[in-house]
Amino acid sequence: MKILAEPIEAAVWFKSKEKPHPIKFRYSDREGSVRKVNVDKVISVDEIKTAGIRAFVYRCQSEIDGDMKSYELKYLVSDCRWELYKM
Amino acid sequence: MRTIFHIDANSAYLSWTAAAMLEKGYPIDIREIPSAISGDPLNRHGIILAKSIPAKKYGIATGQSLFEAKQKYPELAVYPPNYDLYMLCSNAMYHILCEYTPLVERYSIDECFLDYTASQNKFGDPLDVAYEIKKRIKEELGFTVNVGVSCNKLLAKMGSELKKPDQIHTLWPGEMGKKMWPLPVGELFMVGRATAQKLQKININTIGDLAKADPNHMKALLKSPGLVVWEFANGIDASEVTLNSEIIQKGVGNSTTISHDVTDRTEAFMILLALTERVAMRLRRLGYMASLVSVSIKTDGFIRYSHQMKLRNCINTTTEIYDSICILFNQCWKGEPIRHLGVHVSDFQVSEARQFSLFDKCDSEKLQALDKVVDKIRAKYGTRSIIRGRFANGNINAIQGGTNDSDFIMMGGYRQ
Repeated sequence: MKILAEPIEAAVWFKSKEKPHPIKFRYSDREGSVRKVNVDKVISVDEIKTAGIRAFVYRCQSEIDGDMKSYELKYLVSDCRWELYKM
Repeated sequence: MRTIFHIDANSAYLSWTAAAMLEKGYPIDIREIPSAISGDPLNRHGIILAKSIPAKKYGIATGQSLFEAKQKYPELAVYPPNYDLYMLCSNAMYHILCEYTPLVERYSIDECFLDYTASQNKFGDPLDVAYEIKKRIKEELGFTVNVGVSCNKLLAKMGSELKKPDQIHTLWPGEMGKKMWPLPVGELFMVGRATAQKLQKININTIGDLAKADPNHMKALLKSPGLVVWEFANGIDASEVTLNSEIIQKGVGNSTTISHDVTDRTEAFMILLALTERVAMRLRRLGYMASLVSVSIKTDGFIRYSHQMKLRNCINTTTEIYDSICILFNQCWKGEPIRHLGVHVSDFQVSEARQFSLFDKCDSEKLQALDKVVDKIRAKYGTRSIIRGRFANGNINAIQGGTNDSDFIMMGGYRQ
């Protein structure tokens, strides 16, 4: 997986006592076309603090173009923003 | 015997920038190429704030001008500073350190002292813990630190500066002869360029030479700091690791390098007012009033002078401090083009009581009430939410000095 750190539009389920859960998101790929992805499964969530920037990294997997792909989404706490972190 | 750690982030500004850039997917680690962090040369802030270890090999040093550095290595990769990021990194490092002992002193934005003595029973061998701290900071925060371990602050600090980066050094008193004494005397804490020159004149070239010298001789040569540096050379330092909240602040000051040379008095006054806004705000936040006000000027020829006055009463309002600053400025400015201006206040008194004077020019009660409201508005809606009318429609920043609007941790490590 490669770091992309691409800002994305995401639909997220904020649960009452657990961490927010991403449902689906939209990103533009390298060719510039917009892709929509449903988050099929969240495998793990880790808190990171690299360079003091607090964020949660979600390891996820989804079916994209018929292939099962794993990727990571990142929720930047202080910015309240989601990124496609690695793919 | 105490156990003190000194933790120092390696080329802090640069490695913090590198860590944040890598996290954003930047393809190269700027720590591994000749690179530097520098202010904008167009605003005349173009000095090297931090450099990578490969850049050091080309003779690039902190404090050099960007122009000079580029002459030494034209392909030098230069990045701008990001003080908000540095605060985040510094805070994250501080929070990790606080897990090991409550006695953490933030000595500056990238340095901390830890008193590990009492934590030894809980966490075990100091060296193991030093390695653990170093490893955790590297893995969790993405940058490297040097840790010095010893029995006092001075030796711990000297230890952490031995070999960089990503190293742990012990410097117990028994190891001084091997690790510290062979170093040039200028490497010793508190020995600056001027002191080193004076010492070299009497053939004191290494820290060891200074340690073996006669303390009375040192006192005669360098006055009371002579005794201090002699004690330091012998590894003697009784100072405690003090929490920053317990350090009593003795002065507040801000200064700025202006993007062009100022020759107009009115413009100089505007800049002094903008600096006073910041200084007075900080003074009031500390809950103090000041009775000593000073102004400092650096000319285009890099000649620096300052002028100060003791006031009859204590003040903390922006207007009153600014009035005194104007008097001082008029008394000392000789009309040369100005490159750099600074405002400083000290001689504090707690601001609850105030002596009135028959000669007060303005109603200070009213001014104090006004400043209280202005401070509240700024705290709630942002520092620049309310500014003086003089700055409206002008291109002079209404509040100057400091790198961040809200945090001051650059010098002395005190966070307000």
